[in-house]
Amino acid sequence: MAKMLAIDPKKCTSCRLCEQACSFITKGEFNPARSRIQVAIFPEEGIWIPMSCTQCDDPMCTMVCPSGALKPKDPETGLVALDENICVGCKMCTMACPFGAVVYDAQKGVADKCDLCNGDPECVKFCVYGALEFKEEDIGVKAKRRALAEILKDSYKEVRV
Amino acid sequence: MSWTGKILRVNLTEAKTKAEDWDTALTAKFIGGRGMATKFLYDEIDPKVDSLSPDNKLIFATGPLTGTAAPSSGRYMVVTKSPLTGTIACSNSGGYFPAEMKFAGYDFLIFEGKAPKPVYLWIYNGEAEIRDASDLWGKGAVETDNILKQRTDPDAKISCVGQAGERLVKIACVINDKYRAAGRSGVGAVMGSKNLKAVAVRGTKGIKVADRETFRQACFEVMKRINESPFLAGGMRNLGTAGILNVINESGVFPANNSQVIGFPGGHKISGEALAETYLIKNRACFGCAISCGRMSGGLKDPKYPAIMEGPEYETMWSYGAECGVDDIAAIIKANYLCSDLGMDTISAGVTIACAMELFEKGIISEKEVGRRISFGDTEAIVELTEKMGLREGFGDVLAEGAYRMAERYGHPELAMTVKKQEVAAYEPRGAQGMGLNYATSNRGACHCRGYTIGSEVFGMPQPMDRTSPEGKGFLAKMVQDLTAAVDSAGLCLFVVFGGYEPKDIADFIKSGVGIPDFHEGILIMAGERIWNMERLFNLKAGFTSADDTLPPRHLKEAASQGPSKGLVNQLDKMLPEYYGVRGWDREGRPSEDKLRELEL
Repeated sequence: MAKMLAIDPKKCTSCRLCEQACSFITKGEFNPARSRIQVAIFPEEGIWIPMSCTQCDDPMCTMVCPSGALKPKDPETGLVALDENICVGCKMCTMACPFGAVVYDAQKGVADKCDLCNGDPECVKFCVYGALEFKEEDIGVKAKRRALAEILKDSYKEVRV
Repeated sequence: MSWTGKILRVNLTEAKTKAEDWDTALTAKFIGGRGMATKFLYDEIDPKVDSLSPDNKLIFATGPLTGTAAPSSGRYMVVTKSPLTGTIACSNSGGYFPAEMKFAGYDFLIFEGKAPKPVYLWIYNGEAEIRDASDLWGKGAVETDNILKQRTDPDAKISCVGQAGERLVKIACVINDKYRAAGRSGVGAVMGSKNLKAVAVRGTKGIKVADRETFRQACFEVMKRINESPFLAGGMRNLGTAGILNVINESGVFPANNSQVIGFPGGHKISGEALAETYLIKNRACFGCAISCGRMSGGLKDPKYPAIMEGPEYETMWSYGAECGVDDIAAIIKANYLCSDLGMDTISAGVTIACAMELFEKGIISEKEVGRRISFGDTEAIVELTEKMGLREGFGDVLAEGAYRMAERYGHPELAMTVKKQEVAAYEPRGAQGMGLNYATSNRGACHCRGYTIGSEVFGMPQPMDRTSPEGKGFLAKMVQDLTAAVDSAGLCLFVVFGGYEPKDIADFIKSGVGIPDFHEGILIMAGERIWNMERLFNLKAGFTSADDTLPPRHLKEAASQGPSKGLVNQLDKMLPEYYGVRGWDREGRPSEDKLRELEL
């Protein structure tokens, strides 16, 4: 069974080491602005939620991608892959993704999204608090995902102006 | 590498900004942060300058590791001449602002002169703009932060003063990210005196390091060590800084009631454990921190206070708690929040109120001056007086000058628990002899963060030493003071040396981060000593002498009446000569020619 990036906001401390880890391994520099995972922080509510690509089963980014750079989810790896060499930089995927998890990297001129570091996510290795885990999708994880969605729902309400 | 290589010089008088390059090769000599800022200040201002005049400068300084993934490296320092002590001041803070300052393109911000009217500085990816802040004047730190995010960028990080800094309260701090403070020595009053309300930064520039893979592996190594450390992951992460309170209290090192007694019976009610059972909502880390000692607290049944705030720390639990005879966490949280929002140092504020309580109980001041009765254990008084102090209203105007000036005003300076006019922290010099020596010799007045001898004297780190003995404390104080100067300057949190980093690790991070091939532990520690001596030279030029390296008479003459430290006084006279000796200073506490040559100063 494919593994997924499991996020537990309750364990998150908003240290943002995941952002540092991601930008360092994917861009070669410490730069949270270019990280594929970012922590949404609500200081006055005491809530912080790491946000990244959820590798949808039926990915909207792939559906709208005109160049074929974004692939359907691979059942073996659990990855919705992006081929940067084919990407034309049209940004359709950034509009389609409801999580804001696919972004446009202006420096490279192509879309940018989590690739699960080829099955060994760097952000997980830097999360000393265990808020990020890379593990098999199972019923427990799905229940957790649902619980996370409940929290996200409230956050969405806040930003939907 | 690991630096932006840029300084932003901000002339507030003329409303002009100028980006300058700086020589990052100086890292080998001064490391960065506190060290580099001390060099700038030493070179650029007269140490005799009036701290609150436009001639003083205010420096925001990051370290070489700030903004990298080196664990717990999200720090910056605010360096200036202190209006509280008249010494050089360096106050350290974490949160998100420090790293963002580097992502925005600058290692250092140097503020000069005085703006004709309130302003804030906005920096976005290297572009700087001085903007009007007239309508922000009079607002607290939380509201200022919220408004400036709207006016600049939702992802901007803000550092600002509250009302206390505006009103030149001598114990005002600079608050960043709403709740984190460059707390001590009144650096916020200097910012206020310059009519600089806030600095907002936002950046999308990356920080590169010289040897990526070595740096990355070093991160894993240190994170693993922190995770396995009983003190850091076990204590600090689980219970916050107040997790040490019970141990300190039981060790005879915890003063109470303006240090009239040692040991506080209500200690267990204001401990990290007690906080966890009552008002704790969530743990929080500063940027890039693998410890997360921060606490989010809340749930007070009082609409005047927000649902959630950050704190209280161990020091606040003591200053507003034990030192004021208060064992009610809710009252401490309220006072803590007011300090955060008004922008005031919780240690100095609590100790100043404690001093007022003793003055009142001894009949030296009365309801006539204070406007109400106050006594130890008065939960309402600590909250009410804090607000008055931050706003300089009524008796608050007297409190706002700090404990020493207040006690002196009423003819009893000996009742102020201060060194060089700065209030002591939560470690009793009679119970921990070395901490007394560190307070007496600290370059910014009484401060536990200049040299945490408690590591050895209570926790046995790096090696245990008898807390009650003056033996070898000169050596201990010098060692921890020099190491701390290096840790601060690197941009690391002081806590990392208690189970996370060895000095060698810090040196290795600087080596692989900045790219200085021959950098090693010896250079790091030597730089720490250089920084300490440079601060000392600043203070000597400002007019300080060895006579100022002393403690409140209470610590030197009044033997502790109870508990594990019963019968003890601080034996500073035995430790100070040893300290001057190991420092290579003469009997007057002046660095010798040989020492200055050795340190290339």
